[in-house]
Amino acid sequence: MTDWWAGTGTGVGLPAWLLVLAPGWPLLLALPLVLPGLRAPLARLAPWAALPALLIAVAAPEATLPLPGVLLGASLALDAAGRWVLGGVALLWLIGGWLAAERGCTSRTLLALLLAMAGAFWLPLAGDLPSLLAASVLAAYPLYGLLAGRPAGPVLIASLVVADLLLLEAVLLLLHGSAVLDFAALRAAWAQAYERDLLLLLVLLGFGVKAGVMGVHYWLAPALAQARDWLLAPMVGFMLVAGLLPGLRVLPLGLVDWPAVAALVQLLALAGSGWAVLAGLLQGSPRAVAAYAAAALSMLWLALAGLQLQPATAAADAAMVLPVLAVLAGLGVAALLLASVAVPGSGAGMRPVLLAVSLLLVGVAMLGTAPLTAQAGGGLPWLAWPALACVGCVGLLLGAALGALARGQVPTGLPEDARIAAALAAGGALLAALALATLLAKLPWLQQGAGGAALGVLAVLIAALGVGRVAYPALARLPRVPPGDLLVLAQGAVAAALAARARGGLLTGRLRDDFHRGIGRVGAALHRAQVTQAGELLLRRWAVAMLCFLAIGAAAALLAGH
Amino acid sequence: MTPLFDPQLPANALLPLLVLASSLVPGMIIFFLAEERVRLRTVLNLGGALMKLALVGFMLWGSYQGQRFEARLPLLEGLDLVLRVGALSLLFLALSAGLWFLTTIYAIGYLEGAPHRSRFFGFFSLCVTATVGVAMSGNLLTFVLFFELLTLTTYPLVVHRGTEAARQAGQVYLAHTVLAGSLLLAGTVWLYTLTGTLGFVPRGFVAEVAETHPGALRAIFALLIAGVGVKAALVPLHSWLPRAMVAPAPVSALLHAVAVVKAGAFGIVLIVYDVFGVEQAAELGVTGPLAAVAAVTIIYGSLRALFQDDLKRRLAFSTVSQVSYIVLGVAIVGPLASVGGIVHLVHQGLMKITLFFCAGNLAETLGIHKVSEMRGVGRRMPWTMAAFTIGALGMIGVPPLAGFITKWYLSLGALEAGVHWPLYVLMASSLLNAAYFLPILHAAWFAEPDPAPTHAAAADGHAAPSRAHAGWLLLLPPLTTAALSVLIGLFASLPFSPLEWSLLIAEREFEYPEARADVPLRPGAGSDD
Repeated sequence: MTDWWAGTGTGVGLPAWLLVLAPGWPLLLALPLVLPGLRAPLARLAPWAALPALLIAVAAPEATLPLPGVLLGASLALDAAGRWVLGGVALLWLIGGWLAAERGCTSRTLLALLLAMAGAFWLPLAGDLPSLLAASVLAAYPLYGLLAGRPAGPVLIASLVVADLLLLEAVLLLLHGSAVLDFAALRAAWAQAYERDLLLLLVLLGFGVKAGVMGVHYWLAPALAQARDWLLAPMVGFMLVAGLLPGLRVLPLGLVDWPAVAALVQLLALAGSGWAVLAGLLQGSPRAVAAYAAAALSMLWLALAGLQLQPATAAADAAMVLPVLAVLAGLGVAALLLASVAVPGSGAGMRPVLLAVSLLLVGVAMLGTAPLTAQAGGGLPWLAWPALACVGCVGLLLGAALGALARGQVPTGLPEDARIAAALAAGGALLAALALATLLAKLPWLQQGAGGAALGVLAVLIAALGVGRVAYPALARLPRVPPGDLLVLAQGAVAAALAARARGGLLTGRLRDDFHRGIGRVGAALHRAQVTQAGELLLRRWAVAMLCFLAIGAAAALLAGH
Repeated sequence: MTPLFDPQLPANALLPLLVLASSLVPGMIIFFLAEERVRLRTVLNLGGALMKLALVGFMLWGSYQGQRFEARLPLLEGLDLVLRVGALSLLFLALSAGLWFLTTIYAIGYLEGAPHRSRFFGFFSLCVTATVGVAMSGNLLTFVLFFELLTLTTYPLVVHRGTEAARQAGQVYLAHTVLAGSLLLAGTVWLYTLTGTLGFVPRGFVAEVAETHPGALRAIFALLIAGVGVKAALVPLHSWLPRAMVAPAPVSALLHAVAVVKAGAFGIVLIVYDVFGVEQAAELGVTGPLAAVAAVTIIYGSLRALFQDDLKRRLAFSTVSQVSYIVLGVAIVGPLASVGGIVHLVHQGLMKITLFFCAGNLAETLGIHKVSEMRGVGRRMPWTMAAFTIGALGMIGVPPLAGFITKWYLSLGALEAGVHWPLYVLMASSLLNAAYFLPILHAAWFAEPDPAPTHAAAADGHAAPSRAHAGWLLLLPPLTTAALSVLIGLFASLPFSPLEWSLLIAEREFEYPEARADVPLRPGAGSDD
């Protein structure tokens, strides 16, 4: 039997056990919600449920807590990248919780909120794959409850189910007989992986869905456009914590030499960014434009991650630096989204502050990409360009979002929004300063003459911002693209099929009549329900069932070569 | 005349007999109780169930300490009735005893005020007696006897309502199971003539004749698997199962999670492991076809479930699909896959019984029998639907619920065995599971309730709702099993967890760790490499 309680041994101190508090506290608040008498006091505590996680991110030392009795031998671990993501996501959930409390929500909504929060805080601390998958489910599926009633809900849940299946498949194929389930083992497994291109595709699709990567992004814009305003910041946090960070932890960044794959990823990222710009510029609402900006950011991280797949363009500490940049940019997008709901009059003009913070955070994040692209430029210069172009696309969409905000009517909010916005502004500015300090320490790019790259990035960003700001109103006469762009085609096809079915068949007119008269009889006999019902009736006869059983067995034996 | 019971038997031989008696004796007494003796019947039912739980707990602890439990009663010349408790049988025993206790509580609440309760609970107890007999069988003869007893004791439960639909379902059930029983018996006799023994042995007892009679052994394997495959609802021998849904909810729960279907799956495990030996079976080439049949069953069951509007029929086809995970795990031939298959005996039992309890609550309280009637039921019966949600998510394989552990081990086991196709089967099955369970959850929690609640169930041939709200007797069992579905997934690696027991069983079957230490069974086992 497993030594399941080894975690309580002398080797694990109090700081390690504190990690449990981050996901545990929201869960602890969530469970008693089912008791009516406790709902009111818990509802008052719920807005602060993210505070322990934030404090842990700020103050707890790096630690690992083995939990061998949990799942298949789980662990919680706080590392440098996890700390940044936990801090950022906790800040976003804190704001989401405050806003939810201000807006007022039912106990059922509160339950879903706390469950999603617990999952979101578990994810950056998950030290093994089964924990990651479990935490991902806990973070993701309650979002469906929080989006309930919105058309984006089914799109989100369908995307998540497919993504989780792809990820499970990828992880199992990567493990392939190994019983070690931590991330280091998984990264090492890539080198010997069979069909690694397929595996990479599965991983990119699986985490890409959650990170809102273009091509599998269909839930993102509808969800952000339709979500209640208090859910906006946590949704951005979900992208970071469920899509980006685990993706970076699983990919073998800096450990492999796959030049062709690296180049392909760059090109895909570039194409995806272009797609995001095209769809984003034609969105009708600031939130939807911001959603496409978030998707463009995901493409940028993908491009930069792609650079780490070959030694010539890989940078030291990229696996740690990328999450920091992503957190900064994510907070920036959240500030942008919140600016679309904050009211200038009620909080001494907080919208400009939020927009300024948004630009500052994204700007710092983009500057942080300079050393990574500069490193690529030193090795294979042309590979640096896609990432730079992705920065431009992000800038374009941010500018477009500013343009959309300037044109749009902002709904009236509550005075409390101002304080919340101020908290985000202060927290974001603090994080930006910390991030700059960290990046300077980690990546001495100024000393290595990468200042030119930084200036280039900054120039591209500012220019693109300006172009986006001007282009969005200029394109206002063009027809708007619905959030989720290509999704509308699938929805249209489904709606048409359902309508045709309701009318009595998928075929119409003379063709349908012919179908009914001629092959219709055969078709009806083969119709799903009738065939299966008839089959079931036949199978109730023992002899038929037995003959079928023997036939299946014989056929299987023949196919198996026996 | 040989005495039936030797008073000089050591204590470890008595316990298996006591486990049988703990349900047999109350059952025999209950038959003769008048309908109005509710209290005494309840005491007998719950007392027997609790005693069985305690005995199984004692054996679990004793077995962990290395004790052996075996009772041998002379039956025929050279053939004894053998009750033996090993790791595998303990797993099934613990499941049966635990779920019988909960189902008894549920049935007491469900049948409150209903007619023929003494008859029902009498056969109910006999059914569990047969099930634990199957679990403790020490040889194929004992297995066949209890397996057939199970058929005879469950038939009255299937036709309990006494309606025409119930009678017809009973006929189909009996036709299938009796004919299957004859095949099982034929295979058993043939095997005995070939080998001269029927005693279950780890890694089987047919190796000596495998080289001389491979064809006969393949035919015997087919006969035996067809014999137990009917109860395991392997396609195309499954069609009795959806029809048997006319039975009361506790019977459906028992059929699907503990007794009949599970006994069939357990029988397949025994035949592959303890009669043929999994590696010998693979050498004979019979595991490949068995895996193929399991794969067909998994996909077919899920596809059929997708198109059922009747809730219990949807759950029944889901059972058809899910039980074959066990068969697939056994047939893949590898320790990790075996762990996945064996542990699913318990996991599927807990999750499926939760779903059937909830379906019973919906039918009894709101008169809801169809998926299309479930709009907004989460608001009207939040506890029931919370348990249903956990059961459904577990069936899909969502981590950290029990179903995830099953799928993880089955998939890894397939890869370890060098085959990829089971991964795609499991993936397709998970997608289909999501497709037929998630719309139910959406309708229950997020759809607006129908303005006029449906109480026209009687028009569809269903019983009308008989109570205003689900009492605690109806709520406690599904909530308990739902909580267990979470806990055994979340704490899968704790001592005495189903997963740990399954690992022990696989270690025994595949001679771990000595012979195959190159393939680590437990996560983390190879971390030093």
